[in-house]
Amino acid sequence: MINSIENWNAGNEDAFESMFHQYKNMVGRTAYMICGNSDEAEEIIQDVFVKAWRSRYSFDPQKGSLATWLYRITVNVGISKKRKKRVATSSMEAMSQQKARIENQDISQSHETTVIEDIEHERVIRALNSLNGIYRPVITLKYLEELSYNEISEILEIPLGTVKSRLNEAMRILRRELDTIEERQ
Amino acid sequence: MKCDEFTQLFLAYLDDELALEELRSMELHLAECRQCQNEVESLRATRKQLHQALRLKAADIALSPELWSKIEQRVKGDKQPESSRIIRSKSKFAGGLKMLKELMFRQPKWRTATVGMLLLALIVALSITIPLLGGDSNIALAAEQIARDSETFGFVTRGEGDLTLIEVVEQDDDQATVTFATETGKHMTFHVDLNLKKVIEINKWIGINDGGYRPEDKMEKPEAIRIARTDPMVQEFMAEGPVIELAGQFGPDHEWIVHFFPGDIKEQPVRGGKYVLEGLGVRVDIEKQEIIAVNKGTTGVSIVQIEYELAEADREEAIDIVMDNPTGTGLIGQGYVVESVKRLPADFQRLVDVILMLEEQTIVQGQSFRVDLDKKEITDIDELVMVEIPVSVVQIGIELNKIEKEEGIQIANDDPRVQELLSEGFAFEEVVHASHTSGERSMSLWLMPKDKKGRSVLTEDGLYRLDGYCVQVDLGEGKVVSIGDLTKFLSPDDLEQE
Repeated sequence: MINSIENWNAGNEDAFESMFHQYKNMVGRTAYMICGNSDEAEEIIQDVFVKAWRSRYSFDPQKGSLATWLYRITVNVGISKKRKKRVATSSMEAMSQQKARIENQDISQSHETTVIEDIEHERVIRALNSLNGIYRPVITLKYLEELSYNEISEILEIPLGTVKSRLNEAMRILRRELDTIEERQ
Repeated sequence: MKCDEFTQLFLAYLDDELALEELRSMELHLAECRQCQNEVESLRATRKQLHQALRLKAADIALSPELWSKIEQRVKGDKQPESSRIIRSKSKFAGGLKMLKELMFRQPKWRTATVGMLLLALIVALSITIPLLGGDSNIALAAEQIARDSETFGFVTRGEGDLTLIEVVEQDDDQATVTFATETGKHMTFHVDLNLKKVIEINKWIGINDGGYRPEDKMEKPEAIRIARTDPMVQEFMAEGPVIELAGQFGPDHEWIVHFFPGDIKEQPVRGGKYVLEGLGVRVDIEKQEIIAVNKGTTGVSIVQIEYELAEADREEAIDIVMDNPTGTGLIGQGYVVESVKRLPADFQRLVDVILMLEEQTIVQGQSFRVDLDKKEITDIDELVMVEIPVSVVQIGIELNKIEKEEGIQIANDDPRVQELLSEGFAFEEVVHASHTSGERSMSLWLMPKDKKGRSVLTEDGLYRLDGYCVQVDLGEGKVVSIGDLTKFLSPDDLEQE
């Protein structure tokens, strides 16, 4: 049975576990989008909830929702982890290549429409790889989590104008990359 | 509005984020502009593709069933809040902060380097003068967590090994400083705002004595200062106003020298690239718990040197030494450039940091070479993360991107006082210092004369003095907060280049 999460920040461990189950997917999706790798995303999820537990006394529901607070920690942990990793090929790229391989195997069995859609998605994912670290969180929060500009501004602690400009810039880069990929194909 | 102005709003339009007024004019415009209609449709298609691709990709993630047990295990191994330490600030530090704030407003030219250095000195002074007290351990933990959670934490601590929490100092206005010691013997202090849950400033430094860190310094410094403060001359000196205290181990291991300088060093003369300070030097024997000598005199203190005032000879000498080093030569070959040369706050040695950076990176990374000019050798090579401000003050938020800089210039351009200065032959310099001081987003824009040669004055030190203005912009409020005087000192070569 899922317990109430109400007292999680008062130190109730059962409530904390319920809180984890309620928010793990949300945190997981965001983490995965920032780092682009399942294993790393799991590490981030762990770090996020451990941090949340350790700083439970600093969470103030009057100042913002739990989801906003968790998103903020996730983005911070995700970015900081990403910076620590200094690998020549970005993990996003590795993931995309891996995904391409899987898709190639499946192509023969897929319905034509699905194949076209997959190729489209693959192009978008490849274009996403070209996005700089500061643009990924805004794109994820907007087009995956479907949050409002105001909510994104609160989570990332940047002004509304910056949310707009980052989204515009991210979209400009994505479209440019999509064009380049298309030209190559 | 013209088409290109609407273009900036297309995404917000598709995201349902336009204000009513904007929405109306957008729809009116789209109704009559075929080109913009096409553009919106194309953007809509990309947006849809992106949305679908992201959902598809996110669906790939499968969380392992052991995830919770791993978290539970880590959480159970936590130390209890009682193990953290906190010390409380005293009024002296508040006075020091006030002085810093005044400096920031009155003397913009000091902002970049000196404030960081002074803060460092004050933090050092504070941490060595006030004993550890039992305090509100929750605040200590919260402060530590804010520091660890900050965007910059991972970045500035990279390669430093495990960090040991040294102390958390609660200050006025719900702020605290959290100091860690690194495995490499450095100290890092995160100045955090407990309400905003943000890091406001980060200072990173190596032991203030001879560059080498000795664990016992932490213990002996407060002792040295305590003994020095018992001297009547020191007490008299301190009664006159805020002081800056610098302590360093000197001579035999148990001997220390503690310097007391007036806090208002901005009023003091500059000579040979150093600020000449009149103060007291107290030699102390820690073992015997006694004062060996007290000297009143004038000392050239490099702590307050800023980049522009570093003597030309020192600069070239330091760069030459770095260029002779294989790592230095290698980096130059890879496109690194000398970003800055600055004197360290080491009292008794001519220590200089030569910083090589890769050009045009938003998050600036490079290598810092610590050069001992007396020994003519490199004593340390360090990876460096710095953002714009050429001292160890790392701005929060990592960087303000170009768009935000443009935003600052745009706000300044709307101010009538700025417009007047622009019409008087001043122009914005490329140097734009952006910072997130006190949890607010602000920006300093430098307005300097376009005709630098014609409007500079040669000083006794052989440097050219150039007077301009520093425009402080509050990006959050969208207005110019203050316009202060700004003085730059340029070497003849710098002037030629500019």
